[in-house]
Amino acid sequence: MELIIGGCFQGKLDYAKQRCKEAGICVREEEILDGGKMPAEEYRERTGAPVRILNHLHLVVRQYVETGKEQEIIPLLDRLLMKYPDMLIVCDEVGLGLVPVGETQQEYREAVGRTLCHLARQAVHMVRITAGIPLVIR
Amino acid sequence: MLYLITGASGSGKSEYAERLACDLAREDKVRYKLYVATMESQSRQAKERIARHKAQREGKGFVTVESLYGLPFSGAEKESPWGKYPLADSVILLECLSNLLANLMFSGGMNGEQAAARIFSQAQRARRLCRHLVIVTNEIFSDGLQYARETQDYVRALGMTNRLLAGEADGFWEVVYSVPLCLKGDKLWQF
Repeated sequence: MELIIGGCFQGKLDYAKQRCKEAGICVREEEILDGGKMPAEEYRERTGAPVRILNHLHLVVRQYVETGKEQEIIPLLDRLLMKYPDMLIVCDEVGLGLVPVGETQQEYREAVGRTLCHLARQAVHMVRITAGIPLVIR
Repeated sequence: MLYLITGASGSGKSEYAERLACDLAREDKVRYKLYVATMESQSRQAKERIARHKAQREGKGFVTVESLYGLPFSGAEKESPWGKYPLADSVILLECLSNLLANLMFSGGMNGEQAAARIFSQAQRARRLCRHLVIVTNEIFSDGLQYARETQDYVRALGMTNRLLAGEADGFWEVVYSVPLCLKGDKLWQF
């Protein structure tokens, strides 16, 4: 698994697709799981096309936090990784501003950070994208 | 050559950019250093920031050119403040992209894509006309907040502008609390 992080609008997904292309894989749209569009439950049920890229991980986390299921995030990701160990995971960094007002918002930012820590431990590579340019973190 | 500098607010990216511009001018024996100021000077905070940046540039030999809408190289240069300076013998420091973009979008009535494209084409043209172009931009992408649509469009447009410029840049640095982290290019300018 490779972890691709960075601020919003930096070209993270383009970079992920480029990584796949370098590996000789042309990613089809249905091979990208979009954390912002799919209902969380579907992740478990999903079959068929392999998952090459999990995009917008922070939105998956937000969904789970908002529905009070934060403790299910890591098991969900672990199951996905068991099935697709070569997956690329793309996530916005969301913890570099002022602490937001509201418990759920604070909980969301914390949860994204903790989730990324968990993933970083198992990531083969981890890069941060700034203005389309990758910086290798590990 | 085109150089792009980014960093958080208060990271020391302006100072780094100034030193880079001075260094480039000295190394290549370039005569003029033009500082393109893009900030509207209406509010008290703006005036204070401008005064602080001016003091910081003092003695470094910059000529300040106020230009809220960027780099006006459209063929009418002779009538603009630029006419006085031979661009081929100039290093240009443009600060800051986040102001310029806001001016184009919120005073100039452009949408994000138009403004990003405008800045990119200005930079491409300026880069060919002058010796070195140093552009300072801003990191505003990692606070995790959802803004109102207009603001979100602005954030997206700055991301787009940064990507376009970084793609073309000969050097790209993030200044992390005065420490430059080279993201692109083979030269680390460590002062």
